[in-house]
Amino acid sequence: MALILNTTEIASALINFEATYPELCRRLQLPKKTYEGRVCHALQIAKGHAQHKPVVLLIAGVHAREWGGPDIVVNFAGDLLRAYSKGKGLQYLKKTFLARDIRTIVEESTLVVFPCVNPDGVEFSHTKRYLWRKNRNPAHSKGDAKKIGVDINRNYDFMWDFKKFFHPAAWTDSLASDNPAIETFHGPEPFSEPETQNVRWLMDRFNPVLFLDLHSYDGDVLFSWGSDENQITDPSQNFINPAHNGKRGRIGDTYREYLSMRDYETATGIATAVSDAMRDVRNRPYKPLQAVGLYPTCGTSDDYAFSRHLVHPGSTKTFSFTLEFNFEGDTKDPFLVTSSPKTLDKTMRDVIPGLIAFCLTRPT
Amino acid sequence: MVRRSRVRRASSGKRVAPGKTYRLLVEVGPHETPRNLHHFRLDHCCMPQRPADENGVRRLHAFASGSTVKALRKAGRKVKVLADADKEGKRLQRHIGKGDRFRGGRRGPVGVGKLV
Repeated sequence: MALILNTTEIASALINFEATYPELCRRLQLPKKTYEGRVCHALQIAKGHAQHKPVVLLIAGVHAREWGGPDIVVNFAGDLLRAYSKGKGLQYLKKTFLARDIRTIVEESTLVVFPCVNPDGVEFSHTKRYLWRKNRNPAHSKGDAKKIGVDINRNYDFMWDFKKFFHPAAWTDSLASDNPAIETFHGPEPFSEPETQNVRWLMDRFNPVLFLDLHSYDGDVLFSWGSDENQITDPSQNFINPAHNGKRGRIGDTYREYLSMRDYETATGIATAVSDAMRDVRNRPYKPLQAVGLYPTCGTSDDYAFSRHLVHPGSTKTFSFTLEFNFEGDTKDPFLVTSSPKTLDKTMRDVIPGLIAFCLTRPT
Repeated sequence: MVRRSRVRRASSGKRVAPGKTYRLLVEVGPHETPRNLHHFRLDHCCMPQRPADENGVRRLHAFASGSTVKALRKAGRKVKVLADADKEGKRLQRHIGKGDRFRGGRRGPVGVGKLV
């Protein structure tokens, strides 16, 4: 049974992996320190030369109160490294991966994990105000403690300026907010925050073919788009086309975001593979869902990652997902994965198979 | 003389105080969306979306202050207070690891999968 990892322990775990598996692991220091001066690290896992292999990027610890994400990613890396080094497969209750599955991931791809994107916020949630969601940047608070912080997952450069891109009827606090007192405050400009700059740095450096951002909770594997409903017939209805500014984000109207049929099939195929792997463990009802099914959003990591190849034609296409682990009623409290430490172990056993299945998929 | 308490009993049996934060279920009517609750500034991000019941009524999970609970009720909204989120948070923080169990990297996590 495990207590939740604190931010010091998350950092120490990566140091241990690099020391224990030097031929497989390399810690990467991220370029930007957090507001509170923390230096962040990711972990690169690959056997042999990392170049020319498809890259899979996993991040967690973005929304501070969604505890358990960093624990899942750290233990996923630990399981993978331990199994590979012993030439074994891995079993999570009813779900089994063979030794050759583990070899495929470690030898035929480069895996980059960034388990705690927002350590300032996570530390604050762990030790002070449990419900904290944002980072701890006070620049826009004018001395009001309730106005501290930016929602990292509204600060990416995907339709960040929501009042320009979205219909006024879609301007809700869950979409994004320009009010620092609101949980979804999107910051003064896209990529204003060190945390999003660090994630962008990883994307620029590694050009991942797959990206996954771990959150909680609703039992979904979310795929693009999160801004509006998808459609596959009218390529001109897209987020880049200024003719549709001010029309987006209303469910059930005529504007829908374009996704090619091929991309739609690939995205749903991957989301299904991930949710199936998690269901196989003990039949928890994880399901694939278009991200807008939760509510319309902008400035999020998954849509930003997928949009990059459309904004910069010729760049790598990154199929991108947000995994919302756990369900209503799992614990007395929604964001807590450990009302008892046993619950965290169960959650990790549910979700890690989804991450392994994710790494085994290859976009076509 | 009977003093009126500053703490008021909620319909669910939970007491609410203006400055505290609560975990709630708020009813959203058949022809409404969460946008209809926008001006209450509820914190409901990344929380599960329950499907509507047979009457089309949905119950939205949210966090809000006691004063917001009072405002919701004054506006005729049905609110069920599930928990005192501040108190709950203090209890839950006991489940966070103390110090550094990995001793600066000299030890590491053992993982949760079974090797086969």
